[in-house]
Amino acid sequence: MDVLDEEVFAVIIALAIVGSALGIAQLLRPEVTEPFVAIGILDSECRIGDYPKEVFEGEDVKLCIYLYNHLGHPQLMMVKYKLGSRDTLPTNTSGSPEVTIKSFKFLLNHGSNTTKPISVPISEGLVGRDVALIFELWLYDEGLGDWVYSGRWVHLYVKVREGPIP
Amino acid sequence: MKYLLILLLLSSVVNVVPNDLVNDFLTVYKDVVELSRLGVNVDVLVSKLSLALELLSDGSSESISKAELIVNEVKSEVYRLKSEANYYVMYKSLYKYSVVTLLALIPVVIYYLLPRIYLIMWFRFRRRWVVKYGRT
Repeated sequence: MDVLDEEVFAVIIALAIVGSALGIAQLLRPEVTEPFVAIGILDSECRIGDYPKEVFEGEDVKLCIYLYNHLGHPQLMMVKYKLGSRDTLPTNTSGSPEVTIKSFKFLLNHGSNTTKPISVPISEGLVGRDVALIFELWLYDEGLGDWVYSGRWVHLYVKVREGPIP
Repeated sequence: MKYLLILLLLSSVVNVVPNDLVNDFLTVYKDVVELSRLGVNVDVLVSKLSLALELLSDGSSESISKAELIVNEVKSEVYRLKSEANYYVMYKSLYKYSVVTLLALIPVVIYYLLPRIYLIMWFRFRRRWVVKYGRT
């Protein structure tokens, strides 16, 4: 007679093999399997929702920018602010052809995020037009020694009104 | 003369970040990324560099001097960490693969030792048992 039942022994060994394989896989897998960066736009109180629909020409619009780094290493980031239209929005592969009006630089560690209040100007000569406030995320490529477009952007449509009489 | 005065006034208000400082910042940043990829903890260095970046964006002469100090501080820290990096990477790899070996050995150890330990325990728990002759 076997003291330890064969089937029980087989189950124990199977559990040990599965547990061991899982542990090894956890140790050997890369820390970041899907690297990505994220950009978000928030209202002046750094919350989702109360975005401006109308702005005045020459006004400084107050918003907040949210950034997240999940690349597996610290990353120097730059947010380029541009004023455009439906036809000049960025794509996943290229930035907007419009001129950069303002830029903001951030350095984020892996797994960290930041939410910063920003102030962006509305150029003159756009009264009555629906414009897009475009925020593109650019990353500094230390190998190239240059900024590279990340393919991520956010935009907000606003109608430009004539400035109020002071 | 008037324009010269305006220029002088402007230069006292608007300060341009020196190129050397920007280059220093980028070099230090590159080294910090390299160290991070090797697995060295660079949290403190990143926070310091982030502060330096904010000061550089501010642009005032006071902020630029502070940023320069921080960048130099991080530079010396990076230099120290780089000299220790090889030892650190070796230690980390050794630790990782030792744990992998231990985990791989667990099923083998269980296969050989479990029946023996179970048998020893089985006898130990029954060593006071007495076999009696009797009719059932």
